[in-house]
Amino acid sequence: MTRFLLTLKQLRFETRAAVALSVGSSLAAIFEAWRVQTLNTPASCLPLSAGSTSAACTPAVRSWNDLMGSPDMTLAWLMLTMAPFAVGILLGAPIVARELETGTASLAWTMNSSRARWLAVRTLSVLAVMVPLLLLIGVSANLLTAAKNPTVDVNAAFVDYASRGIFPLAWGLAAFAGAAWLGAVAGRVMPAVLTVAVASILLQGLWPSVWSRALLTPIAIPANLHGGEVDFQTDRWSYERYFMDGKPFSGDPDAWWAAYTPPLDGPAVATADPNVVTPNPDQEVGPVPVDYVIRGKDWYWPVTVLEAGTLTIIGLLLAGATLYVVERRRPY
Amino acid sequence: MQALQDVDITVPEGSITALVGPNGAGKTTFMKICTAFERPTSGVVEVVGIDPWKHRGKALRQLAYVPQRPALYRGLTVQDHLALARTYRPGFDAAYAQGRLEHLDIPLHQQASTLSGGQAAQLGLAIALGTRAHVLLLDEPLANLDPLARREFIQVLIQAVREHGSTAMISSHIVTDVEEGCDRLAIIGRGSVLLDTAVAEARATHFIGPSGASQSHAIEVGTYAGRNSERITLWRINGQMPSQGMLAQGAEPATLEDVVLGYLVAGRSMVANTAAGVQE
Repeated sequence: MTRFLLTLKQLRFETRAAVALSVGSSLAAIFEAWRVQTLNTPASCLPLSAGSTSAACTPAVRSWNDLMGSPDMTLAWLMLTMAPFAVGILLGAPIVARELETGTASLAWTMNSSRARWLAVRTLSVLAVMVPLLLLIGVSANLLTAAKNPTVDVNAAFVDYASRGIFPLAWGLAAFAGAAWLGAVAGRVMPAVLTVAVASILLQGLWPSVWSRALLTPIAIPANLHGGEVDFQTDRWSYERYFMDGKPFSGDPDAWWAAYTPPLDGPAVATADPNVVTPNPDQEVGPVPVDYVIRGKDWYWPVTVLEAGTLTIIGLLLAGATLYVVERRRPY
Repeated sequence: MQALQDVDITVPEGSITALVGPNGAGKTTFMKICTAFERPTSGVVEVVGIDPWKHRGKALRQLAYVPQRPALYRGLTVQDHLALARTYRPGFDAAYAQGRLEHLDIPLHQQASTLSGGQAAQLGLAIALGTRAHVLLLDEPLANLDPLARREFIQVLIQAVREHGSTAMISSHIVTDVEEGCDRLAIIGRGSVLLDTAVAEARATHFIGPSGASQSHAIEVGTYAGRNSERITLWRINGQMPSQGMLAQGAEPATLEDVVLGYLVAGRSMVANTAAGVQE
């Protein structure tokens, strides 16, 4: 207990910042979810539902859209999305690098007969604080997602799935381990913070595309839409909105949908038609070849476990790499 | 580039050895090899019979290390450091360390970042002594201390080592800092050991005289500039120091500082072979 408290005391600035960020973003999410609830928007008037364009629904839809597009809603979601990385990096970067930077590693590594045990105790002390914070973020993000998508079961839908539930924990652990490893290699906190922050943004941006290509391809690849290259955003968007929550698309291109209504809860089905129109009204409309593999909602947990598990494995590998570096490097 | 070569030092149990040499001589490298921070490219180092590189954990349990720059957590108090040390090292004698610090009027609730250089060094020493380790390695702990703090540090060290029967090696580039209480002297220069002997032996077997004067039964070690810019030569004799009458005019017993200066000049002027020839 003493070691646990003293470790946190050594990292008190980072710990306080992590707590403030996690609790602050979670409270913001809960507040925004409460605001959505207080709109009391009838289900029939929700955007994308069949009746949402009726005159009776106009005020409700406008209020809904105003809130969804408000800066505070955007900020709350952005904070929730970024918080796991920030928490992981804040607590991970100094865990070894600070000792090297300030010269205290020579004390710690001669007083302890095992560097592995020293690192383990230090890591567990930080994780004891970090894991509950990341779970709090995940639960809060689930609450906000459920409020923003009242007709969707967030535990069976892919709406923003990689930013909520257990994903913040997985992202945070991976960022923590990455920052700890880079800090141990570089022996400096700030370079590790900056490098892992950039790497996290890149990884999070590429993650859906990587997975869509590796696991779910082809879900929706309008191959000729953008000069023959895969449009990752379109790819992911289709993946999330059309097929994974078990809800039919009820937007404008009804004709397309009527012709290609997928078996919503059924097994994966591949369809192909070179002359169908993309269902997204915001995208280019025209005859494009489309190959679809439709995943039902029963894919939610397997995909979640697979992707979050992969992140956790990456985190464990980085933790192993950190231990390797700590065991072998000089304390200066 | 080799930081150390042909180094052969044995530190007797229970002794306090001063490892003296100029900056860059290899003192710190030697200490770091003993603490398994550095790996020797060849040769063997043993701490209480244990090779630190092969059996780091076992070796570390036998020693305590005080680096030149006090290794303290700026945000922790003195008391926190003792508590942390207790969790780091089973058997750490926090009461003893605390007693040492209280005796020196170092406030236990003061943050390490606000300690003076001397207080920080004393805290580092108290932690090292609290481990009750068999071997204490102190790497230029006096380098940044004022004269009073140096004296206090050395006195605490000597008293503690004598009480516990520990073995200590303290490095410095200024021999006068560490000669009080040290019973062995190892002079290291250009990565090699130039002299390794008992302090009493070093004093008894060396004398100085004006440069150019010949001395029978003595070997010239090195010539250096004295305080008044005169050239002084250090001589090493075999056997007992001759009586004053047998020495050439102007010759007198060497101080430890004279011994160190003579050997360092010998090492620097590339007469290491001569130095090695007179090495014990």
